[in-house]
This record gives sequence, structure tokens and C-alpha cells, in this order.
Amino acid sequence: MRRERVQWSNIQALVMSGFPALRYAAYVLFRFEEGPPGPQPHASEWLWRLCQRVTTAAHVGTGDVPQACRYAASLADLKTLTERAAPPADIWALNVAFTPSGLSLLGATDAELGRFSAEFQNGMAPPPDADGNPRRRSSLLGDLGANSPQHWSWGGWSACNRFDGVLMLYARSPASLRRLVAAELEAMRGVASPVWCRTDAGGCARFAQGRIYPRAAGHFGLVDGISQPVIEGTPRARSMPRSLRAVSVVAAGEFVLGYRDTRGAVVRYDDPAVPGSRDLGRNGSYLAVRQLEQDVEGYRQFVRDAALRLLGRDDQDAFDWVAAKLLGRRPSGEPLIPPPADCRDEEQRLNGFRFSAEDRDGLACPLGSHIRRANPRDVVGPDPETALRLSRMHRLIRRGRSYGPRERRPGAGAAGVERGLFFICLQASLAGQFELVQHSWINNPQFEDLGGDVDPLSHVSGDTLTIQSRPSNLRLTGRTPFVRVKGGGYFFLPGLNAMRALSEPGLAHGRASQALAAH
Amino acid sequence: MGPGYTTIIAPLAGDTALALKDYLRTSANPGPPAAPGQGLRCREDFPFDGIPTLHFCSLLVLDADPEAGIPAELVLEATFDGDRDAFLDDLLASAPLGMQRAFAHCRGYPLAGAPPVGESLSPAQREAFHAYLSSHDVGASAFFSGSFGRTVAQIRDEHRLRTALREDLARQRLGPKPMPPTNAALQGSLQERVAADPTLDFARTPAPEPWPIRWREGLASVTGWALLAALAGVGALVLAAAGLGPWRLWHGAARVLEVAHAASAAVIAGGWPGVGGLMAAWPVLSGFLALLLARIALRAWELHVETGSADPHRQSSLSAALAQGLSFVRLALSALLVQYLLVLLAVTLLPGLEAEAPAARNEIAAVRGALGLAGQPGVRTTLLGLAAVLLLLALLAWTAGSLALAGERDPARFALARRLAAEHVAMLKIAGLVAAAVLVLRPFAPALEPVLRELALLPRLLALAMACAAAGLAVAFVAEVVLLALIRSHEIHDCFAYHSADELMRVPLANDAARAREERATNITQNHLASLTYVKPGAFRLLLLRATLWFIGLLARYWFNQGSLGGISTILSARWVVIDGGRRLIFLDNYGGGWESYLNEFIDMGAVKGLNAIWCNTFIKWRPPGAADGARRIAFPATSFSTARGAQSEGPFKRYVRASQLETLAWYGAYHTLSIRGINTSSGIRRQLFQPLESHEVDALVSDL
Repeated sequence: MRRERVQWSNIQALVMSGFPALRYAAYVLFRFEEGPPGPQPHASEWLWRLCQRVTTAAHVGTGDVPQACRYAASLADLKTLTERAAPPADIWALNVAFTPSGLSLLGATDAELGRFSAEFQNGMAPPPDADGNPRRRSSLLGDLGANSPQHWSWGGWSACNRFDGVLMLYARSPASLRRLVAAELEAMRGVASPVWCRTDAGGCARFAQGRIYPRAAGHFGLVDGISQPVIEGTPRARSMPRSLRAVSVVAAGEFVLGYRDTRGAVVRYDDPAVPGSRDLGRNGSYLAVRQLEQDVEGYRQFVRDAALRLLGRDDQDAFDWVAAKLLGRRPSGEPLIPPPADCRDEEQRLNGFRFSAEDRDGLACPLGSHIRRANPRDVVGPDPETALRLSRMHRLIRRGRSYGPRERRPGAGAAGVERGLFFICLQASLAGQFELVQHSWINNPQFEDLGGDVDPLSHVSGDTLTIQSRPSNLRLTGRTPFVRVKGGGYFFLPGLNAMRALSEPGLAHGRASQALAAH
Repeated sequence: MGPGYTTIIAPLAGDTALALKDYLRTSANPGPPAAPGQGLRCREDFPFDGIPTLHFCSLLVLDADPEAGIPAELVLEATFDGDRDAFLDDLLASAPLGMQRAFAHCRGYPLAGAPPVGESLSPAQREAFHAYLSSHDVGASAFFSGSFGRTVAQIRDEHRLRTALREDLARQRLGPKPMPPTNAALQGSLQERVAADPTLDFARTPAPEPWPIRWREGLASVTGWALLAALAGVGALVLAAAGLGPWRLWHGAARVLEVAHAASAAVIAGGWPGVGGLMAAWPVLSGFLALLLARIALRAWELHVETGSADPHRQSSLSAALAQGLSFVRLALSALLVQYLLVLLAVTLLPGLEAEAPAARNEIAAVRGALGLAGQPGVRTTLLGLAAVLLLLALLAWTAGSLALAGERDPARFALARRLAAEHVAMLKIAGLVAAAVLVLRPFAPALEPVLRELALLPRLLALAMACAAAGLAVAFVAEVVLLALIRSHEIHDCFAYHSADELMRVPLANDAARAREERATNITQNHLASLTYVKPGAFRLLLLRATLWFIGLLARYWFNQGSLGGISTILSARWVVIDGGRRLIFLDNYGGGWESYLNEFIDMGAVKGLNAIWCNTFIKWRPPGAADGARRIAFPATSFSTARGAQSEGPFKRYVRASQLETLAWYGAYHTLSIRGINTSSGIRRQLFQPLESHEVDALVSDL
């Protein structure tokens, strides 16, 4: 098969990097000002200028964004990068994503919009039906009960339901981030305004702030973001050892539209029958964003209780043992499946393991642990090789960050402080990737025939937990959730080609009317 | 035996489809369970849970198609234990009101006019209603059950057993008492748990195993041999027609020698002095080697096609079909190889062979001379020859052992070459054994001749049978090529006759939530999918569809009866029914998991071939939103040779399924939180619990708890 060239300079940088060196982030939800129907010269002009500020994947690793922003090649890199002393210059990154209404207001026709996936068009939380029952999507994602979109602070059924897009801004220091946000708000004045979100405390937050904390550990104290898919054809994919490549390397089309995916198909959004039709999907990627509130005290309590019941003690070792069994890795990120003795490659050690060959029974890494559910590798399928191939179609590029202040000392957190995870993942198919992972694996009580367990970490329902062990399994019942969904939405991260294509008619219109006025 | 099933399809009398749909949605569809772990909450009109033998039941309405002259129809689908009549009686006894209210909409409804009665029907009424229902039962063209041979009670009991053991074990594990010290004691403690609970008494006796499961493998191999025998019969007829009757083939041994000699006689005549003796043996050896090499090459290609890629997206169906079809050549080559061994045996062991094949007299003498068999051999020659043959055999045995070990160590590495080598090593072993037999028996040849003549019948018969089978397979291959060509021509024709499924990609399909049932709290683990498609017109398509369904139904019953249908192990109970006089195909499927992941399994695994083979014969009538013109005929995504591509184009395929999907108005599942995998594991636990087990088997048993 012919190798395809990926147009990195047309793809937003988030696909390539989570900007680990830019530890401060702001997510600004915005809504376009309603204008007269027809092309919107102001919005077009804003979008056109924004194209020049958007960080692209081609910038990653070049002078524009420091080398450090590339994928952290290993856990060691991840640590040193994020703990490095204050940066010298004011370095930042900017990406932008839109909802269907945003694309429509920017001038995408109904026919063009109709080609985007149905999940994107319906949104993450479609309003309930006439009888008040939640829609298919809500139950598919597990957004029921306390997690129902009814209670969300954004993106749900009630307040701030409509937003047209999100600006994702990344900087190296709080001051730098403030300047960046102010500049961007200024730039969108008259075109769009930020959406205010309801918080539990009753106040309003203008935007969510994301943080990468030292050692890349989240609020639960677990190092995150170790296993990420690597796009086929990138230098990093080529330099990988063969066995690791089978686990990590995934076709570009699984994340970016317009390229070959694992099945060899290419998704195109233009109409071959209509000459000159625009392909607004090409080089773009779908974003699933979820705000997950984490009850740190509840989590600690649960792990302590579990340690007491399972091991009879609740010291740090026992605590870490239980935490590791929930996650599937040690809190430091070390895998629970021991690497081969002769393994020298750091990444191979952290990420090269396979479940079927090395831990089929889940005695090391429990069958229902978080990492096994999120990426079952070579487990779900008729044989390991097929399973590994199938699992490559359901990988997510995760770009989430923590939000809210870090708890300084265990138990010292002030009540009412909101903290959690701003989960962001990228994929080419929301249904086949985010939704499938969520429904068939994370929230599936029948996963690996466990009969009742759901994901122990992002767990939102269910009340049992099974840890495979000998002579018999360890089972706990009576859990209460410590993660709550607080908001979410589906966005599209367009390619720069699509952003330029969207801004051009408006610009032409604007220039024409200016010319008319000059006469 | 497998579960019973019924598919009752009754046409509606008037234009009341909407009212009926509404009624079924609100008064037949069970609600979510009151509490986790409980059964579905059935409605008053349809207390499905009152029928203890019912696995699954669904009700839906097919819309009228005035264009085709098909009225709206009510469909009742049920999977149950026991026979149909008992089930219909149970259904009428427990849901008299609902059944009357639903079927009152139907044409020819026997109790028309009488107001629905809430209590039980009178015997006469029940009989009339029963007769009406059974006269509208269309059964299934193909039926699959994921828990073949297990009753509702058994599935529930075994789940209860597993849950009880699981909870007990968990308590014991975390309790103050130490766990049993050995695995045998652990198994004993589980058995005690069962003994302590009278409600688990059933677990002491193993569940009956239906014969299609027990004799599954024997049945399959018997069928395979029978098929081959039938083909051999066909082959014999064809050969006889071609002038190669059984009698001529019977004397083929000598003929093979003649033919082989004719080809190389010139070489020998040309004379390479000194090697003349060896060259004289050449006709035998060169023929053998050439045949062996040809067979190796053919088999290598076959294996390459067969195992080249486990990924159906990368497999070529045409070369697979060719490889399968060309297996007759392989068989013919094998037959010739056997013939060669036979010739070797005959030449060396039968002194009177010349008399039997006078035409080959000179050649036989030459071969004997070359092999040093002209006179009685010395003991030394025999021993030396025997030693050489034994060395060769030892070498072959060592090679075979190494190949097997290498396979165990890394199954994926050189899998193809290993399989090829192992096969031919085994063949060479047989040749070596034959040679050894020759060497050992030859000194006694004159004395043994009558016995050997009798014995030589066997390999001769084998060679004859193989030749006939090869001819039969060749005939089958020609038939296959013709069939494939026919299918292909229809496929090409359909590209022009129908709209492409790609058109569905351009518009967002409305109302998919109503069709997929994952949206409802009743269908989180198990789901229902109802799909209605039209069969492409023409006798060929209908015949192809019916043949495919018949074959799949056969496979589902006798081969795929252990929980997985062609590698898909999420189907609980599925049926395909050709209805309306062969004009439409309805597919009713109770499956586990989500719609998206369920369809992905088909797209990405080998089962896609079966799916394509069925639905490539169908199209749907689809009205684009906002279009003024009538419905468009959209064909199933283009297949190639009926099994390849098709559903593998994910987007159009999923849209096609969505567009063909009907709303399941009411759905009931007796064990709605269980998966096929879970059901099968629970059965395994019950089967093993009271068996004497090895330590590792106890480990495996306990790890499932």
C-alpha cells in the first residue's frame, strides 16, 4: 500500500501533543453573537486571524513550541519536563474546537454539516424525550442518576446549554495564561462571548482551568497519561521496537479524518458528485470533553477501607496496593505486569506488556482494573492477535488535565472546593471510540464476565469490586461512587484548511462591502 | 435439544398500525426492573414472566408497503423450552387479555366481535385462537441459540449457583477462618456449600447434554467423509464417462510406470554411461520427486491464502475460493504419490508383476536392476539399506518434534512454513516406512507373494478412491466457478440496478434512538435488533438466499452450538425468516452488548462472510428526508463473490442496518442481565463442581467465581 503523507501543518497540535511543558491551561467556552443571516464578516475575520495563532502539529518540536512539548517520550521525561524550572520566554499554545452550531454559524451549509457524524450532531447530552426519559446516548455513556445531564454545570439539559466552541489555551505560568486569555477575549469581542457556567457553590466560573501537576499525577495521586497511541508514520512510531509498535502504533485515520484507518477506509466529508465541494472534515478530529468531579476524600476513604478489609491494615503500602489494583499500575505509573528481565527500553517496560500472554487471569493486573477496561489490548477477541488488531480501532488520544487546587495534606481540603479531571479525548469516530469504550468496557458490568463490576476509578455506578487472587478472588461490595460527571460535550477540532475555507466567503463578502462603501 | 421457537406473523385487518404500535409500546413492553438484580416488570396485559419456559419474546409491527401490495403485519417472536403448542397454550393462559387486544387488529382473528375477556378464555375460544396462531407461525429459515440446550430454569439456577458460591467464597476469603489448605479441600468446601442449601440440590447431578453438542465433532467428521464419499461417487461416474472406468484405474499402477518411463526413456537412451543404472531408476524417482514438489508448492500457496492474514479486511475472497476449489489438484497429486509408492511396492515385492503388465516388462526389469533387486539381495545390503532408512526415519521424527516444539514456543512465528513442513515430513515418514517394509519383506517375497497380493489391494483401493475423489472435487470446482461467475454477474448488474448504500451516509438518519434499544434501562446488557429487508427480485437471488440460510441454520444447530456463531459470542437467540412469499427477509436478534460493538464484531471478524452471504441478496426501500420522489431502492453495500467486502465498509453498512431496523415495540428477556459468556461459564461450573478435578482445574473453576 502506498504510504500516505499526513498534512501536519494543517492539523491542530493537540493531536500530536498535550503540551506537557505548558502546565497551565484554560478552556474558554464561547458563543457567537447573533448577527444578521448570511456571511458574517467579523466572525470570518476573527477566524482568519485565529488560523495564524493556532498551534499546529507541525509546530510541535520546532522553534515555535519548544522541543519539550513533544510527547513525553517516557515516564522519566514526563517528570523532568513538568518539574523543570520556570521557562525563559512567554511560550503558549492555542487550539480551537467547535460544536455543530458553531460550524453552522461560521457558514457550514446544512448539507456539509449533515456529513458530520450523528453523535456529534446530537451532542453528548441530547435533551430527554417527552416523558422525561433520558436518551439513548445518556444511558450509553452512563449519564444517569446523579450523573444525569440534568445536574451538569455545562453542556447538560439546563443552563448554558448552547455554546458554539471552546478555545483551549496553554501557557507556562499563571501570569502568562492570564495575558493569553485576556488577549483572546479581546480578539473575540464583538464576535463571540465566553459562556458562563454554573458551579455548585452557586457562583459562575468563566472558564475551566486545567493543570498538569508535578509528576503528572492527578488528584488521586496517580500518574496519568502513560499509555497513548502513537500515530503511524511519525518518527516516534518508526523508532519503536517491534513488539511495542504492535501495542501502540495506530493508523492516522483513527484520529484524523481524511486518512486511512485501521480498516483501510478513508472518511471524506466532501461530495465527489459536486465539483468544488469543501471537505470540512479533512485534517480534523472529534473531541469528547467531560468534566469529572473527583471526591478525593471519598476515594481515600474507600481505598483505606478496602485495604483494611482485604489486607487487615491501612498503612501506606496497603493503600498503594489497593490503589494499584484499581488503576492497574502502581501510583507511580509502573505497570503491575513485570517486564521481561532483559528489557532495557523504558517505554517498553512501561507500556509494552500484553495481558493475554502475560496475565490472562488478572492475578497481577485485575481483569476489571481501569487500564484493562480503557484499553484491553489483546484480551477482547477470539485470539490475542485478532484482539490486538480490534483494540487498535478503539484507542483514544487523551489530553485531559486536572482542575481545581491540589489538596495539600490528606483530609485538609476545604469543603466546597471543586476539583477533578477535565477529560479530553480525540478520535475520528465518537461512536466507535469514546462511546464504545465507555459503554462496552468502562461501564460494562459484564466486561470479562465479572458480573457486576464497573470501572473502579472513573466509576459512577455499581457496587462491587473484584480483585483476582489465589486461592480465590477478593470481592468487595457496598461501594459509593467518588467520581461525578459535571459537564461535557462533543466538539470538532477542525483542520486549518477547513478553518480557512470557512472564513474565506465571509472575508470576500466583507471586502466587497468595504469596497462598496469606499465608492 | 435446542430451544423451541415461533415467529407468528399476522396481517392487520385495517389501517390500525399506529394504534396497535401505541398499544404494544405502552401495554406490552415490560418496564425496567424495580431494583437491580430483579426481573423486568411486565405489564398487566402481558405477564411474560408468568411463563416459566420463555427465554425471549418480542412484538413489533411491520409497516404496510402498498407499492408491493403487502399489508401491515404484527410479528410475535418467541424463544422457549419445549414444544410450540405447549408454549402457545401457556401464552394464551397467562396473557389472554393482551393477546386478544393485540391480535384483534389482525385479519381473520377468530374471536372478532367478542369483547376481550380478562380471565381465561373458554376452551373453544382458546382452541380457535391457538389454531389461528399456529397457522400464522412461519418458524425460521435459520435459527441460532447461544445457550443451546439449556432451559430457562437451568440458566437461572446455574447463575444462582454461581452467585451463591461466589458470595460464599468471598466471605470465606475475608473471614477470620483460614482458607482450605489444598485445592481439593477448596473444591470440597464448595461442594459442602451446595449440600447445605437444598435449593442448590440440582447442582449435584450434571445437566443433560443434547446430542448435537455431545456428538458435535463426530457428526462433523462423519459429514465430511460422507461428503467426500459422495464426491468420489460423482468423480467415479465422471471418470467412467470419460472412458476411465474403475477397471482401467485399477490397473493404473503399471500404467503409471509406463507413462513415467516414456517421458524419460529418451534420456536413458541418450546414454549417460556409468550412471545408467541410476538413471534407469529415474522414472520412478523423478516422477515421485516432481509430484512431491508440485504438491508442496500448491500446498504452500493454499496455506498462504488460508493463513496469510487473520484480518478479513486483508483477505482476498477470490484466491480463497480458488485455493479451496483447487484442493482437488492436491488430492490428485496425493493419489499419484500413493500410486508411486504402490509401484515401488509392486516392483520390489511381486516377482510376477511382468506377467500382469507385459507392456512394462522392460521398465520393470530396469528398475529392479537399478535398485539392485535383480537377484536375491545379500544380508549385508538389506541391513545397510535398513540402517539408512531407519536413519532417515529418525531424522524425520527429530524434525517433526522440533517443529512441534517451535510451535509451542512461539505459535505466530513461521506458522505457515512450519505447518507445510510438518505435513510433508509426515508424508515422507510414510514413504520411509514403506521403504523399510520393502527391505524387510523382500527376502521372503516369493513365500509371501499371495499374502502380499491380497495386502496390496488396500493401497490400490486407496489410490483408486483418491483418484475418484479428486475427480469429484474437480467437478465441484467447475460448479463453484460457474456459481461464482453467476454471482459476480448479478453483483455487477446490481451496481446499476440499485442506489448505493453510500447515499445513506449523506443524511443524518432520524429516529435511530427508537430503533436501538440501548437507550432504555431494560436493555443495558441485552438488546434486541429487528431488521426488515427486501429480497432482490429473481429466482437466483431467492434460491441463493434460501440455500445460504439453510446452510447457516445447519451450521448453527450442529456445529456452532457452543455459544459462538462463527466467532461471534454475543448472540443470545437469533433467527432469519424469509416472509411474504420470498419477497422480504426479517431478522430478529437478541444480542448482548451495544449496537456499535456488536456490529463491529461482524465487520472485523470472519463472520462477515456469512453476514455478507445472507444480506447481499437484499435491498431496502428508503425515502430520503425531504425528497419528493418515491422510495429509493438501496442495495446492501456491494459485495464481491457474495462473501467479501460488503459489510466491511463500515459506514455504509451501519447506515444500511439502521435504515433497515424496525422499532422493537415490546421486548422481554427472562435473564436480562446475563451474557452468553456468563451463562456458559456458569454451566461449566455446575458441570465440574462434583467431578473429580485436577488441582489446576480447581484453580480455573475458582477463578471464575
